[in-house]
Formats: sequence, structure tokens, C-alpha cells
Amino acid sequence: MSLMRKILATAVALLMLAIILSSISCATPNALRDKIGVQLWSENCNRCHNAPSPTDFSDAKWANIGAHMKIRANLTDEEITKIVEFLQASN
Amino acid sequence: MKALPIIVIMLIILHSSLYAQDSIPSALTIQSDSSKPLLGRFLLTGNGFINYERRVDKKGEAWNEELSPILLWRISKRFFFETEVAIKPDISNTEVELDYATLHYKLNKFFTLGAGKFLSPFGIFQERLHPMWINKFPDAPLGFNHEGTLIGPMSEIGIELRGGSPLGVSKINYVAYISNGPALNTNTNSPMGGMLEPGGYIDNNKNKALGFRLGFLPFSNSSLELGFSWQDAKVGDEKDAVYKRARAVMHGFDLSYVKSIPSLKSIIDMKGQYNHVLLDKTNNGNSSMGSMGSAYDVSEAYFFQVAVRPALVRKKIISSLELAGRVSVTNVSQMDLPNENKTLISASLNYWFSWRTVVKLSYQALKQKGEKDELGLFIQLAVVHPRFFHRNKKISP
Repeated sequence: MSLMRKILATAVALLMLAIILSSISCATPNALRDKIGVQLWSENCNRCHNAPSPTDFSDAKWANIGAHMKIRANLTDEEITKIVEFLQASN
Repeated sequence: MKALPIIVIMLIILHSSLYAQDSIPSALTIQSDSSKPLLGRFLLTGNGFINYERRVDKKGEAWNEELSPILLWRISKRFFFETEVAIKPDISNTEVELDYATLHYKLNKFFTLGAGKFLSPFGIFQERLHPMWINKFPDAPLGFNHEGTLIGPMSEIGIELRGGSPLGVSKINYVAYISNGPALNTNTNSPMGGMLEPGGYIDNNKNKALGFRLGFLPFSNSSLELGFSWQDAKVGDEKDAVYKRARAVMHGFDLSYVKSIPSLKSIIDMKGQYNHVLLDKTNNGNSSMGSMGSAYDVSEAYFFQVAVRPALVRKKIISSLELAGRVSVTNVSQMDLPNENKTLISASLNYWFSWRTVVKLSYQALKQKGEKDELGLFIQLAVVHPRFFHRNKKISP
């Protein structure tokens, strides 16, 4: 088995393991569950670009941008919900 | 081994069906109710840049600019549509290119299904870093732009399944896709002969490309993300007698680390990606490869960049500055030509007028064995979400 195939097999195994684990344990771990929207906003938006101010957009536009960013950055459902709620409450 | 991606996709679909009854989060559905004004569910925005480039050694200079309108449309609670078009104005021939147009359907809180044209999820550059208002530099790294030599995929036309999930104190994210895949250029008279090009709307063969990316964020503050990508595709034209069985297998590794360092009053931002492409041109063990040279071509491209911004300093004129450095390398194997090695070293001093507007002053050196270094100076203005589009009128739910 070539090195590349071993790497591929390992990655696929990890993906499967991750899916299985997330299926078994639906309870959100404390680290994420305890975080509030402002914290998630500052941690996640800055990973790729400057975080915009909550006052830059209306509620409806934040909902649109949230739907876009959930896909683009592969954010979890809980993260994007809390971030959008924070932005809508702060604008 | 070839069946593994199909098994993974089936597992994902099976997993998603277990959670089909999940509720939709409230914040994202505030304006999704059909009783709300239709315009509230549209967002027309965009980004653009103006670039000035001066070649120090060749005494040449050039201007180019691009405008990219973006439409985001929440059709319903589960359906979401997004599209972006790149317009490149030119006196003689203005180019208009569709970057992506994807319809998404939210299966549940773990998975979203997308169909259409989408930016390649292979690695992080194409999907997350390529817009000029995000890119710390005025151009893409070597090998990551189809206007130069492209090593790895750039966009896909097909179906994708993606999402993210907590995993203990860590997180994972995942994308799997089936697409038309890249096409092998068999025109040996072309400079791109023997290279892979982004696939078109009509597939050049009956085979579909399969690929995935798995991202892992080990720390609860999401500061570090490590990713692994893979894609396998038949790339030869179905009608081509010699190369119809040609196949490309790609592997990619990516890294992102963003951390605030209070002692330096700065934010440090590191990004990197490595793409490896194995092009197999063999045809049923036939070692005679006609005019395309060797049976196997191996190409690779990678970049690593670091940016530091003293964003925690109180003085705005200092906190708006950013210093960035990048090294990008390509090692291209093309037909029976000698391998082409190029290294691009870039340094950039950026000034952020606001989160959405940046001016970059960049200096670059392109190094190639046996040739004189090509030096270049760039000045670029990049903008996103122009303010005149977005007056903040709060709409009550």
C-alpha cells in the first residue's frame, strides 16, 4: 500500500469516526454550549476576515449573511445561530 | 479503495436522515416567513478591486480591476440561493465570469446539500481566501489561479454535502462532492497542453469526480484549523482514443491559525495549503503515450503566509496597519518538458480604512532557476459590501 493510499485511508477512517461520534453524542459539549454570541462572533469571523460591526446591517441582512457564512465557513448550527442572534440584538 | 468516497457519502446521507426532524434555528428564520416582505429575503451586495502593477525589471506597468456583484436569497426556511459574477472591464473585451451559483437545501443542523456551480472545497484558498478583500496580497499564490498554472481544482459543477459539528471541545467540518471534475488539455501545441483545466458545464466524459475535505479544529477557541482534501477524477475526453482513460488524483493539506497576542498587542494570522496532483495518462498498460510524453506527471503547489496586525493598539493609524509575508512554490510536470520550478516571495504592507476597505502596497520577487528574478510592485484597493448598498434600517420580525 503506497504512502498516499495510507494517508487517504486514514483520513477516510477519521471522517467516519467523526460522523459516528457526532451521531452517538448529540449533546453539545460545554465548551461550545457555554459560549455566547459575541464570543463566537469574535472567534470565528476573524479566522478569515475582519469581523464587521453589528451596526453595519439590518436584522434581515444579518440573517442572509448568516446563511451564507454557515456554508462558506462550515460553521456549526449552534455557532451561526448565536452569532446572528447577537448581531441582530446589537445593531 | 475507489468505493470509499461513495461509502462516505452514503454514510453522510444516512446520518442526515437520522436528524431530518431537527428544528431550524430562530435567528436565521426571522425573515424567512412567507408573510414577510420578499425584499427582506434578498441581499444584493458585492466586492471589487482596482490594481496597479509595475514590473521593476521590465519597466512595464498595468492596471486591472474587477467588480463582483453577489446575490444572497433565502427562499424559504430550508432553501438558500447564492451567486457571484466576476466582471473584468476591458476596453476591447469585458469578461463576465460566473464564480458560483448554488442552491442549498438545509437537511438538518448537521448537513446542507448544495447543487450548481460552487467554489472548490478542496483546501481553503479557493473557498475562503481568494476574494481580494480577504486575501492579504494583491494576487493569488502560484498554482492557485487559473490565469496562471493551476495545480488543483478551482470550482466544481455538481452536488456537494457539507456541515460542521462539535466533537468534544473540538469541532470538525466536512464537505463531500460529486462533480464534472477537471479536463485534460490534450492540445500539445498549446502552452497548457498536458495540464488540467477547470471542468465545463458539459462533462468531457461519463465519469464524475469524487472529492472531500475534512477540517479539524482541535481548540475550543477555533484558533487552529487543519484540513485534508482528496479528489479522484477521470480527466480524459471520452472521444480521445489515447487519453480517454487519463485520471488525476489530488491530495491537499491546509492550515489556518489566527490568534490574538496581548503581549504584542497584535493579531497573528497564518495560512497555508499544499496541493499534490498525480496525473496518470496510462491507457490499459500501454506505455506509448503518443505526443504527451511520460505516463505519469506529478505536480505540486504550496504557499505559506503570515500576517501581523497591531489591532490591539489604541492609535487607529497603527492598529489599521498590517504586515504580511508569503512564500508560494510550484513544481510543474508537463508532458515531456523539464520540470518547472517557480518561487514567488511577496511582502505586503496593508492599511485598513475600515473592516471592508483595504489598500495594499506589495513587493514581489519571482524566482526561477536559470533566469533573472522578476520584481514587481503592486498597489491595490479592495472593497466589500459597499456602504451605499446597506443602510441599516432595522426591520422588526
